[in-house]
Amino acid sequence: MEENREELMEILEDTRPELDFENETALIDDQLLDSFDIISIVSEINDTFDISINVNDLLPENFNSVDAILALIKKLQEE
Amino acid sequence: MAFFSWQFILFLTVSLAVYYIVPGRFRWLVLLASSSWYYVVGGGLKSCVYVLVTVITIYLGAVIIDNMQRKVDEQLKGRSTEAGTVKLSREEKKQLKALGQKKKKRVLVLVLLINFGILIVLKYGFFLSTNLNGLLERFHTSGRLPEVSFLIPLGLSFYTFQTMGYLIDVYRGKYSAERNILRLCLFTTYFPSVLQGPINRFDDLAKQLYEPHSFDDLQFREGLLRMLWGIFKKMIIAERAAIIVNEVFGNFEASRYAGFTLVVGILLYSVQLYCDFAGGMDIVFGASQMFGIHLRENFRQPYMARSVSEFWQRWHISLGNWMKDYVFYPIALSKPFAKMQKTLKKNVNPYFGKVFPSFLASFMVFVLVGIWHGANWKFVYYGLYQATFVSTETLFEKPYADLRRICRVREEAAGWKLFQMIRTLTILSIGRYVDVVPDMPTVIRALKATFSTFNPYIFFDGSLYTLGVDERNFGILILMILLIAAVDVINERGQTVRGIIARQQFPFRWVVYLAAIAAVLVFGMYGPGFNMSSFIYAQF
Repeated sequence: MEENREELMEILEDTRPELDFENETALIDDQLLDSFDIISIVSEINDTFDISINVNDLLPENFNSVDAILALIKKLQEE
Repeated sequence: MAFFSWQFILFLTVSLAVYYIVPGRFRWLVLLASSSWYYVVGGGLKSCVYVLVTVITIYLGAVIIDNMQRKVDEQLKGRSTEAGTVKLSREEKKQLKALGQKKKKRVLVLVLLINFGILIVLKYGFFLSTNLNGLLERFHTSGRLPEVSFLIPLGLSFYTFQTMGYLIDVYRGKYSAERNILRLCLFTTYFPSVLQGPINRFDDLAKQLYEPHSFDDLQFREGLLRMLWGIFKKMIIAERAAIIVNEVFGNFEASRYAGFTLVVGILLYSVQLYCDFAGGMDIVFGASQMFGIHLRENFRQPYMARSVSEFWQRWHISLGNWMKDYVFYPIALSKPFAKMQKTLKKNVNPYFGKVFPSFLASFMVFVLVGIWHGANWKFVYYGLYQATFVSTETLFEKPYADLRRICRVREEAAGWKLFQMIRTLTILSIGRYVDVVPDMPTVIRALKATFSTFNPYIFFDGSLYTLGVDERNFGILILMILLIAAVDVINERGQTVRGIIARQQFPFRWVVYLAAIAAVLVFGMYGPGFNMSSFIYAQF
């Protein structure tokens, strides 16, 4: 899990270095990430974790915080 | 029924009175009755047939999809045998889910095809049949399609998009299907927004529609004020600007306008479009707020955008969000796009691979947005033009940033921000030529005429006052535009002028209301051909 977190943080910080991902809990609700960011983050996550996040998973609650994204990754890895 | 007519005022007053008089649990039925009445009177019975087809198909589609999902969920819990429930293996679960998904998809596609089909045939039938006939002619075949044109039901694009969004959300499992068809009917035809949007989302609006709202003095006042503000924008600003725009561009082939006259014309067209559309929205939101129902905002000070993509996040927000959720994401995350992304990352350049799929998907979205504006090739070009700016912003993000560093731009300086706003407005204004003249060759001619003549003297020799609006009215127009700009600046800082006024003491409030009504009556433009119902966006 810790490993996942580190890899995810790397992807996120690579996309938007100026955001404080550790403490943000409303990445989507506050429109901190735009649609282009989401696409690039999702594609990186899919490659890195070998999962496939599809359009049905693109709910704000799955992407609002690092923990939420981690939970989504975990859920998809288990499926 | 025009928004600014005594019939509408009477209709709204009666609806509001009945809404607040009847017991709470019947209130949504009052909204349904009002919406149905509004739709029948405004659109005629033929329109109702189309809207009913949509309500019934979407209702059934959503319920069937929901039932299928429930069944799968039930089966996933395990197989019941005599010895009790047996858990399914991971493989079995996977298969079951895939099968359920496939069945759900069939229903979704069928219902979307029916509703999209109706939209395309009604709205684009003429465009498609003439273009196909052109093609047939080119291949020297003798067969021709009949050139069809239909009556377009009231609010067709808006209610179709709204209900399709609902169905797709149910399919995606975002929420369950609505089991009461009358409630879905109210969501589809809710009268303040059926004519010109916004494109509402079920999870935002539905609950608000069905729950009873008690009369709230402050909400009512704010709603009323917002309606007045919308009427003010439409009647005093948009209608005045329209006169000049029509004079300058209305018959462009025959006129000899050039240089700064065209610049003034196109800038006033931007003003007209904003005040017409956002003013219409203010009336919609205000009317809705009087019932205690809050719609999601459709505009956020669009002309303060510092880039074209930011403009599209501030202008007609509900359409942009719809396109993002139901077109952009599905395309950008589709399998072919994921494959393309991988190939590009590996063979071309990692950064390019990362942004190219979004770039391509946004092109597709903007072409669609263009076509949404009208069945005409010029709107396809319009979409491509917008997409070029939006997508290159991301594609060239790094070189742009380097350029700013080399030029030592201070990004937070007010001067730089202002420059960005003016730059965005210029790009948008050039794009709007497509909207004001009939076809592409004329667009090119108009652009040439704008840039090939240098005539700054028109600002001093009084020729601006010969465009259909005299000096006094031109002055009023400029003053009112400044007022709108000031209000937008205040809104941008996070305050609403409306809220501030509505909270004032009784006498002050009434001075503002009466001043606004007086301004509309005195300064509003009502020519003989005036028609308050002709909002530009109601055509879409």
